[in-house]
Parts: sequence; structure tokens; C-alpha cells
Amino acid sequence: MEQYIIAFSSVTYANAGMAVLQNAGYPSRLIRLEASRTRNGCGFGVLTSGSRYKIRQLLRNAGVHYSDIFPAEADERR
Amino acid sequence: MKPFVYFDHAATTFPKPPVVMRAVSACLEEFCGNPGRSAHRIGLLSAKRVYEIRCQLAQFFGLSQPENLIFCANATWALNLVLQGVLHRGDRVLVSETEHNSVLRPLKALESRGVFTEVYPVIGLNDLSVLEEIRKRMTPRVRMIVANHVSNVTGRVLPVSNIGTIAREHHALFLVDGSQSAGVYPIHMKDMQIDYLCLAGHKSMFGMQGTGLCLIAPGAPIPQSMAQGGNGVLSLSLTMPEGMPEQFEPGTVNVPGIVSLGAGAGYIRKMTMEGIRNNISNCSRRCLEVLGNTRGIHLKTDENDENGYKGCTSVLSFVVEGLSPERVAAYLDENTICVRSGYHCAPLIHRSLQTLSGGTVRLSFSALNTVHDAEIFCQTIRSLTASGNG
Repeated sequence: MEQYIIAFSSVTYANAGMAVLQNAGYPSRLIRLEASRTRNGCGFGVLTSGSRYKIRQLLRNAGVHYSDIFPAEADERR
Repeated sequence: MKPFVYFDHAATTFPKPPVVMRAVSACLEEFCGNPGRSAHRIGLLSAKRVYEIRCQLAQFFGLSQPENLIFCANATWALNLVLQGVLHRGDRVLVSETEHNSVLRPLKALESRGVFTEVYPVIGLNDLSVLEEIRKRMTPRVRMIVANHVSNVTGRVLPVSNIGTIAREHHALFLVDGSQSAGVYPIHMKDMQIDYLCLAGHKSMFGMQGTGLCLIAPGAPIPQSMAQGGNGVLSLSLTMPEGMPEQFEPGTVNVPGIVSLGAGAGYIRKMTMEGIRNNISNCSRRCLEVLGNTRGIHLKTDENDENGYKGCTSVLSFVVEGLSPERVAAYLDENTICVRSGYHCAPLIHRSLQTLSGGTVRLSFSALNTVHDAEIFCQTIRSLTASGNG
């Protein structure tokens, strides 16, 4: 199954996103984003797997704002 | 240490419930990493716990968006954030005469920036009269109403739901100082139409000193930040990243303190606020009975009425004829009873209470007090008055 990294503007939103996904049965883990994934250095994200469309829908319905969602590179799938 | 009676919970609850102490100890031993900074397991565990407690406390106070709950160092900091961050030149603010200096001093400082303050009376008035006093002061220039939910001098409970309605009707913002009420009286931001709720964590919420909360209702204006610094995200930017709540939490947050607040809220939920108020009432009723029937003692209380809390007071004040409040408090301390004396950082209330000459002696109760504590106090205060000025 495809793995994705969702980037959030803060660790609070990252935790909120992770809670939404976990409650919906998506295995999710809080991670620190690679510098290449952020525009201005340091950020938090959630590594998860599932349908990108459904992930987006879940977060949108829960009102949890995220800044980006992208497929995880091989070395990011820890 | 000798056994003592602690009636100074309005200043700081002491000791904390064992469940709070255990939670803090576990935090310090097991997961007190820096939340929102490092990505190792301890840092992430710490961030997760802070988030869970943010959600728990938001729900506790009827706030639908946990990210709108800001962890602060104390209530004073939270109140400053709202008052200094929201009010502008030309704004008028209505405040009760029971306010603490944590509200009055920032507003005094804002005078020089063109913010005007008007005081509405409370002492000696029933709730309907208080509401009428607020209504008649409402003009289009009034941007904010401030209410001290429970007075830290008399224990008077203001009808915040009704004040919230007045604020809504006049398109004014509503700020509640819940420092003395949180954990004793229910506070639901949505139901009570509260825009900003500020409170201390170390009083009836049973948290540690160095904790406070600022909760902002969805749709209420977001204050201007008072401080900038690192918050673990966008480190290369010299501008503080916007976004709740980290925008208002520069620097490392007080994780053990936040954990203590979470445990305190859990303790309150288990005890129930009704149970806590019953316990407080049992103590305060006994003290009021004896103080009210002892010659030379004058109670300085303010009756709670229509808001349903008649007969319950978590705080009460009195003076003893011929003895300064400081002398009375010292005598009580010599007899292992801890109370507070003086003006209690509430300068306006003493004119109405006629206690400008020295303030009052204040008793404040918590869930942890017993009727036995009240009996010890009553015996001691009787012995003071019987001995003729101690």
C-alpha cells in the first residue's frame, strides 16, 4: 500500500492529524520532516498509508489543516 | 511538620491530590522530553501527551477547537495576552469592581494607548441588578466586557451566562477570568458565550504553579502575539510562524505543569464539581456560622443568589474589631492555620466592602478540606476573640 507523508504547520496539528487517522484505522506515526520537505526548516509530519483521497477527506472533514501531502520516499518509510 | 489547616487555596491549592503528584513524577521519570522539537521517542511521547491534555482541557471547558487552547505561565500572562493583544485605541472595556490586578493593571497600562475602562458595581447587588448595571453602560464603543467569575475576596459568583448574552446582543467581546472558579463551578465557553477564558492552573484545577490557560472561542479575534521565539517549526524563518497554538507558545512549554493540569482535571472529573462544592460548602457554612455569631467579627461576604449557588462560597473574608488582618493571620498561623490577609490584589472591591484601612482576612477552601479543619479554625478564632485581641 502506498505510504504518504502529511506535512503540518505545527506539532499540535500533526498530533491532531495523527489522531484523526488512527481513529479511522490508518496506521500513522508522528515524524520530523526532512529539511528538503520544508521551505524554512524544521517541521512535523505524519507517516501513514492508505488512499490519498480518503486521507485528505478525513483530515478535511475533521477540520485539521495540513500544508502538504506527498508519497514517502523509500528512505522515509521507516 | 506539625499538622496544619490550609485555608489558602484561592492563592494556591496545597497539597495537591496524590494522583497529581504521581502523574508529575511519572512524567519526570518517563517522558519529559522536549515536545515539538526532537523526533526521538521521548520527544514525540512528550508532544503526544501535551496534545492529549490540550484536547482533554478544551473539552473540560466546552471549547470545540483544542488548538485554541494556549498553555501559559499563569492567569496573569493569559489575561495580558488577551487584553494587550486584542484591544485598540478608542476601545472601551467594562470590568467588574471585583477584578484582580491581573486585569486592572494591564488595563491601566492600556489607558496610555487610548483604551478606556469603566467599572460596573457588584458588591451588595443581586445578579439582576448587576446585569442592569452592565446593560446601562453598554454603548457602541464598548468592545469588551470582563467578568471575574468568582471573586477572590468574597467568593461572589457572577452570572457569566447572562453577561455573555448581553455581550452578544451588543456585539462586544466577553472575557472571563476563571482563576477562582475553574474546577469548582462549571464553565462551558460555548454555552456561556465566552470569547476568552483565562485561568490559573495552580488553584482549584490542582495543577502546579507556573501553569495557566488562555482559551479562545472559534471566531473570536486572535490576539497579537506578545512574545516571539523558537517553537520547533520553520526554524530558518526569522518571523514567528502564525498558527494556533504554537504562535503563542514560544520556547519550551512546561510539560510537568501541563501533566499536572491534566491529572488535576481528571481528579475533578472523578470527584465531580458538585461533590467538590458540597465539600467546600460544608466547611464554609461552619466557618460562616461561627464567624457570623462571634462578637467583634464582621463578615465581608457577598451573597450568591439567582445563579443557583446560594449558600456555597469557596472564598470568604472577615475582619476582627481592633485587630489588623495581618495580626489575625499571624495568630492563626501560630496556631497552625494558614490563611491570607490584606487586599488580595483586588484594589477596587475594598471601597465597597469598607476595608480600605487594612483589607481582610481571607479563608478559601478546596475539595481537600474537611469539616474537622473548619472546627479547628472555629475554636481558634473563638479563642482569639475571647482572649481580647490575642
